[in-house]
Amino acid sequence: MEARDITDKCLDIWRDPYGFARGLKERGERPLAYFCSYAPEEIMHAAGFTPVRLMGATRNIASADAHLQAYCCAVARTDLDMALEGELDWLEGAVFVQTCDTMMRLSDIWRLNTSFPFHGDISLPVRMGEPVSLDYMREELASFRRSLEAYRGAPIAREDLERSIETYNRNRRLAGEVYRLRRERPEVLGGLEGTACVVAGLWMRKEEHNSLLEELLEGLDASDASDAAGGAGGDPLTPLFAAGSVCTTPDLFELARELRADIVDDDFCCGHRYIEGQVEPEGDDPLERIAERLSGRINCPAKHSAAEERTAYLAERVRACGAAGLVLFLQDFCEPWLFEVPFLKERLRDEGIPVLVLESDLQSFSRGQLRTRLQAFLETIRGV
Amino acid sequence: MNSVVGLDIGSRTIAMVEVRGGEIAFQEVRDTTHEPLQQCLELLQGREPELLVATGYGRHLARANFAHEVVTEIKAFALGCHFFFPECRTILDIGGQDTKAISVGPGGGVEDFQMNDRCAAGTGKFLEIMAMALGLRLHEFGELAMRTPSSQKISSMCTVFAESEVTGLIARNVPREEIARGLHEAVCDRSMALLKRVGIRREVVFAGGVAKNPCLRALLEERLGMRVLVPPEPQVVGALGAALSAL
Repeated sequence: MEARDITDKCLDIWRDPYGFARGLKERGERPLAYFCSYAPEEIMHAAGFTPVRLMGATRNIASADAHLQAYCCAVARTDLDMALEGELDWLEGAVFVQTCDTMMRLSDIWRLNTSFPFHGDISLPVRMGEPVSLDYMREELASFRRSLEAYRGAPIAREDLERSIETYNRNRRLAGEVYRLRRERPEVLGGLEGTACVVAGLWMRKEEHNSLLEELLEGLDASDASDAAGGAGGDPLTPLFAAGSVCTTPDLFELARELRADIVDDDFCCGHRYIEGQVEPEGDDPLERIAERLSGRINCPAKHSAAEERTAYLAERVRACGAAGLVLFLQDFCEPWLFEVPFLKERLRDEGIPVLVLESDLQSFSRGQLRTRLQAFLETIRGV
Repeated sequence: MNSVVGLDIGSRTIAMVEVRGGEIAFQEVRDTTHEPLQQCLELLQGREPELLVATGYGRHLARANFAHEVVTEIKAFALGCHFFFPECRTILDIGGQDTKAISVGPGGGVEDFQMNDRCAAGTGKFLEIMAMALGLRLHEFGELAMRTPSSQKISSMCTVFAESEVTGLIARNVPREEIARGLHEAVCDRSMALLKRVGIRREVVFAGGVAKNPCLRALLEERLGMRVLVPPEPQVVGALGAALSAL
């Protein structure tokens, strides 16, 4: 495939992920859902499942409101709605990593109201990233491994787990290359297309995604023509950095492009946070190594971290990619993020970084209002 | 540049301003209707501007058809208010379906802004529907609310819920002017929250169609503890700013 064909394919998957993931079962794979980038996919993969991410959908809610209050985020509500409406019948089960309050309660509601064969729970330590919580994290992973082994009726072999770690490390390395290209050569690979190529991997087996990314990178290396993969081309675009939880749809990236801007780097948990860090390839205990990677990443705001830590982290990354401003793209009612916003916004502005906060609700998504806010922000930072 | 036309295509009205030699040469406001494009073409009939700049929700529709450039309402209001009041540092714009608080620099540039959430709670459309629920025309609504110092507390800002609340108050025989005052106070509270988020600095300018409402203007002044400046024709400020952005 040409690079352009690959980015088009990935954009199509991002626009209709569950339509694509449904096909996995038809091809003989065993899709197992997860909701959060702390899910230990390597263990699920080694057990023979294809981990797939559920991160909401733009839809009206038919059944979920009987179980989840309107003040829960639309990601949780629309995921549950799809399950209750029987639209996820291709899944073998779901794995809940207990991060925010909504996700913790969603696990119970899901277990009691759906009938998928497998249900997994993993509790995370509140203080992620501190050595004192590593043993606890490792034990949680061990317990999850045992529940998967009991379900499939066979132990997960050490060599299978090592192979999965290698596959996922390779995936993160390749995705990291895509991110580097998107930052350094936006004329060849735009933010929209680059992100699509990484995000599409959330709904396919990583071996397949790795081949796709390798083909993409080879294709882009071979071509120095601008617009090789739907990059910006033409006039330089205003570089932006975006952060938040998930981008369920490509709208934010498409809007930025329409307004002559490009999101050159991000801190989304379906983006850079998902590919950050590597599992040590060698060592005695694979679970401990997986736990170390998950703990070593920048924390999700649902987990405790020192107030200054995220400011410093984001400020450094915004500067490193040369972005002219930071867009915080948040889900309505995402308390962990929204709780941090006033402080973050103030501190980042102190650092001289222009910040725009955009809230999105999947149920009443208003592209017009998002466009006005983003365009006004761009007018401000361009000073025109 | 000889003639520049600014068009502000809002959800309720379309405003057009022609600027010649840095001054307003012509202005007109009409309803948007369900055919905004047609309304724009009628407004533009007989005019041959060198440049046409569109703003408002319909700006991209205009760009696709006849406008040369587009700017956001936020930038347009900043420039428009600065034209009338160069000392303006904070703007409250309440339009048909949007409320915006804008912080402005000394040259009329936008420093920060806040917009209401997606729904039209507390905007012009809200006031229009509430006036209708009380059997009043829009211009009577604000005047009636000013006739009483006492108000009935309205707790819902959602247009649908507030309408139910008003119906309940009418059924309890609460005087209409007290309900009207309560509704205005609720809109004022909401606007104050947005203003506080961008920071309130003198001078404060109140623009957009709702700035014509005398009660809201008086309530804002009372709440802010300072005078509020209102442009001579607050509905055309966006269109004027759009035109000025090209100069």
